[in-house]
Amino acid sequence: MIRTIEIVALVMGAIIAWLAATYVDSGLQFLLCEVFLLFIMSQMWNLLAGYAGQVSFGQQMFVGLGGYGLCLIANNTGIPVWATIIIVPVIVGLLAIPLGMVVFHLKHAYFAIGMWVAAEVVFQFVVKTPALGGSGGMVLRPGGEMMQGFPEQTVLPVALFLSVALIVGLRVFLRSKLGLATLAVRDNEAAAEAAGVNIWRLHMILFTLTGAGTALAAALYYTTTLFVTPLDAFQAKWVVLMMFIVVVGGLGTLTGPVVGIALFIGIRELMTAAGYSGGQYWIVMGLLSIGVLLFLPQGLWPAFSNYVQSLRGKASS
Amino acid sequence: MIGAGLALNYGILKVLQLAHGEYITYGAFAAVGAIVLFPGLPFPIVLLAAFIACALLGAVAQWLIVERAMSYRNEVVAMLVTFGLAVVLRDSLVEVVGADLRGLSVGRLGQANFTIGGLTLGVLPLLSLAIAVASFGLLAFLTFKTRLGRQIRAVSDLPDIAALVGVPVKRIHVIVAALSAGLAAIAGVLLAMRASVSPFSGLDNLLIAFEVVVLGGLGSIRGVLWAGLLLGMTQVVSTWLDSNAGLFYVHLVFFIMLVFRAKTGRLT
Repeated sequence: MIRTIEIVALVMGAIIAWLAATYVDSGLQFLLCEVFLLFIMSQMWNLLAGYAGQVSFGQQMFVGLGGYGLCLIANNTGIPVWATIIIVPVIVGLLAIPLGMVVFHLKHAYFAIGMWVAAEVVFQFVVKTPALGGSGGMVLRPGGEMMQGFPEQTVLPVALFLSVALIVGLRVFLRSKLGLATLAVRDNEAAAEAAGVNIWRLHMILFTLTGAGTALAAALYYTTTLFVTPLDAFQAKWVVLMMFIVVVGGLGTLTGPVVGIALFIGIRELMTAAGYSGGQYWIVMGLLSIGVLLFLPQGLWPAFSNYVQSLRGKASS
Repeated sequence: MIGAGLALNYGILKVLQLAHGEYITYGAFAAVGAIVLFPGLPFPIVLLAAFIACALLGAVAQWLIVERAMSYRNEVVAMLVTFGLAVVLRDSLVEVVGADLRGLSVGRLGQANFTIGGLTLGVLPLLSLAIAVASFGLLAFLTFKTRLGRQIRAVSDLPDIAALVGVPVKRIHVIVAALSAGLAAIAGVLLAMRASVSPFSGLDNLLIAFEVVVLGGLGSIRGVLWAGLLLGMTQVVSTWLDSNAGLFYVHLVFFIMLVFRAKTGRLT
C-alpha cells in the first residue's frame, strides 16, 4: 500500500506544481514542460525495456499517435483540448493492444526492429494521407478556433505533478503483486513462468500502459507547440533520447532517468548558451553514452549508489 | 547489398551493429570525396578506396569500442554502444561536410543502355548488380574455402571452443567488422551512383538493411540476396501502382512477412 512518505511527496509535488505555474516565467515554463514530458516518456521506455525486458525502437509511434490524436479530435469535434488530452492516451492504449498481439510474436532484437518498422509504417501512412495534412502536418485549432492564452502555464503543473505521481505510482506498483511478477520476469523469465506468472499478459499490460503514457506526454507536448508534423512526431530522435536518458542514468531503476534527463537537458542548455550547434551536442551525447556504457554498463545512478553503499560498509566495519 | 555486411556482422559477432547505416553513408561520401580530390580517378580505384576507408573505420571501432562492450555479454549494452557510435559518426559527418545532398557523377554511364531482344537495359543497374553479385561471390569464397573463413565460422558457432583451439577470436572479430563495414561502403557507393546521398540517410538505410537481413534469415548470406530482391521488387511495383508510395509498402510487406514467419514458428 501507499506509504506516508509517498503521500508527502505527492502533496509536495502538487504544491511545487502550483508554484511553478504561478511564478515561473513563460520561456522557462516551456523548457520545463519539455523536461518533464521527456522524463515521462523516458520513464515509460524504462518500464518497458528495463522492467519488462522489451527493448523497443518504435516508441516514436506513440509520440506521433498522441500528437495526431490530439489534433484530430480537438479540431474536428467540440471536445475541449484538456478533455482530449485525457481521451487520447485511452485510444492509443486500446490501439496498442492489437499491435502488441502482433509484435509479441517477435523476440528480443526482432521485437525492437519490428516496432521500429511498425512506427515507420504509421509514419509513411500519415505522410501519404492528405486528410492528416500529409507531410505538412496539422495545426492545433480546437473546434476550428486558434488556441487562446498560454498552454504551457497549464501543461507545466500537470507534467510536473504527473512526473512525481509517476515515480510514486511506480514504487507502489513494484510492491504490488503484478509489480513483483514484473521483477521476477525481469530477473529470470523461465523461473517466473514456472512459478505461475502469465508473461504474455504481463507484457501486454505494460506495453499498453507505456504506449498510453507516452501518448499522454506527447499530447501534452503538442499542446504547447500548437502544431504537429509527421517528420517531427515520428522521428527516431524521440526514442534515441529516451534510450540515452535511461541508459546513461541507469536502466531498470526509477532514479536513473531523473539523473539522465538532468544531465542531458543540462548539457544541452549549457552548450546552446555557449554557442555550440545541435550537431556538436549530439556528438557529445553519443560519446557520453559510449563512455558510460563501456565503463559503467549499468548506468550512472546504480554505480553511484553502489559506491555510496561501499563507503557506508567501510565506515561501519 | 545493403544488408550483406550487416548479416555478416550479426551472424558472426552476435551484435546488432546500429552504426551500419552510417558506414553506408561514409562509403558514399568517401567516394564523393575521392572524386573531388582526384577528378580523373578510375571507378574501380574509387570503389576500392571507399572499401578500405570504411573497413579501417569499422576495424578501429570494433577494436576500441565494440569489443569492450561485447565483453559484458549483454546484447543490449553492445547494441546501445553501437547506437551511440552511429550518432557520433553521423553528426561528425554533418559538421565536416554540411547537410547538403551529394551525388556521385557517373557521366554518360547513367543514361547508357542497350537493347537485347526488345528489352532495354540500363548499363548502370546492370553494373550495380554485377558488383553486388561479385561481392557476394567473393564473400562466399572467403567464408567457405579459405583458412580465414574456417576460423570465422568456428568463432561464429562456438566462440569459447574456437578460442581454446587457438583461433585468435578478437582478431577475427576485428576482421569481420572491417569486412562488414567495407561491404557497407560498396553499397553506399552504388547508392550514391543511382541517387544522391545525404549525411542523414544512415538511419533509413539501416532500417532497410535490417529488413533485408531479418527476412533473409540472420547470418545467411544467400537468404539476404533473395530478401533484397523481394523488397526491391516491392518497391518498384508499388511505385509503379501508386506514385507517392514511398517506402510504405516495403515496410508493410516486411512487417507482414515477419509476423507471418513468427506465427508459423519459422523464426530462428
